[in-house]
Amino acid sequence: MGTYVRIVHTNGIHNIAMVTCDCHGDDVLPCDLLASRLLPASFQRIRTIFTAQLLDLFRLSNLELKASAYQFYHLLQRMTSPMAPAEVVNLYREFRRMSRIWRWMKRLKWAGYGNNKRKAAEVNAGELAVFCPACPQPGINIPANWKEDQAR
Amino acid sequence: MCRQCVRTTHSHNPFHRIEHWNGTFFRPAELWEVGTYLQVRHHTGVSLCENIMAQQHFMESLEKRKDDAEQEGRNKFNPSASASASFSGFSSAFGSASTSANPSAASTSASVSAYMDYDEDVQMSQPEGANYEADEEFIQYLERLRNDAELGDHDEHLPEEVNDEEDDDEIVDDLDEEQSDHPIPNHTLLNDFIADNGLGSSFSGPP
Repeated sequence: MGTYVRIVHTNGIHNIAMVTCDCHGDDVLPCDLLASRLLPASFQRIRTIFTAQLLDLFRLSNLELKASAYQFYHLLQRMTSPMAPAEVVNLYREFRRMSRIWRWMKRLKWAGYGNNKRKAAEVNAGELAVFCPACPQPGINIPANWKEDQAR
Repeated sequence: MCRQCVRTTHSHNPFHRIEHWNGTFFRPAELWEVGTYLQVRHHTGVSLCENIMAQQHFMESLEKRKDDAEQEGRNKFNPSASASASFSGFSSAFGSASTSANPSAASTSASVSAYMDYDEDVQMSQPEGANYEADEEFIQYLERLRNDAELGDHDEHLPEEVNDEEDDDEIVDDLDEEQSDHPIPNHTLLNDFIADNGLGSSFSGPP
């Protein structure tokens, strides 16, 4: 049923009512939210939601702008309340945690989880690494006798 | 724009930032003040089930009172200025905050003046003689609905998130009490509304 939630989006933090329905089960709300590109920060009593657009933006800002989570969250606070950013609720810890979860979920998706019938908790070491075509691969982009190269 | 128009125009852009003319200057406002809400659809099966649609009708019925009150108050204050902008959207640093999530939004509670962030702005935004409903009046309205239904202990029918004062979630624990006290439609009210308006005779409310 309806409740008020806090939405953290690319243009700041919003408070808004949310209408939900549990006719498909008590535990499907997180999946419904995920399908709408909204990531709840908790699963039982959902009160804070991060948007996928925000987490994608932070990942790119972190990559290109070298923006830390601390800086990025202060940016969100500033956008939410330009006059009094310090009065905006501090979700720095939640933001960092959601950022890590988001990156983890993206890696799982890239590795085929969700389609390969395997559980996300059973990932082996190195399994989620992204293949780098620029790295030297014996038999592919470096000579077979690379070990004998004096300049290696 | 009036609150109804702001709500309608933002039905597919629920994270936009708006401003409110309080009589002196445009203060930052939020869409919940005009009754916008997120409507989370199901990701499997029927996306908009009867339950969600019934809730939408219920919330619209609550909003209409606020919309009408605003219009009456504005016309009493200055009939010729009824078209003056009370809300104005502005672009954020990231431009329009439209989201591909597109959780369609409609409307819920709260008059424009009922849930203002700052009390002084509420006073300033209410023209003298205007017939705005205050927050307390709206709560009384909800209480009246409960009493009309002649039901006993209504707290039993409230969902847990309304009854629980404490938020025992470690991740999200600091939502303001003021927000948690918003008049959230409960099952009793919803069912009453459905019975009164003959909506979906086959509808069975949430457990």
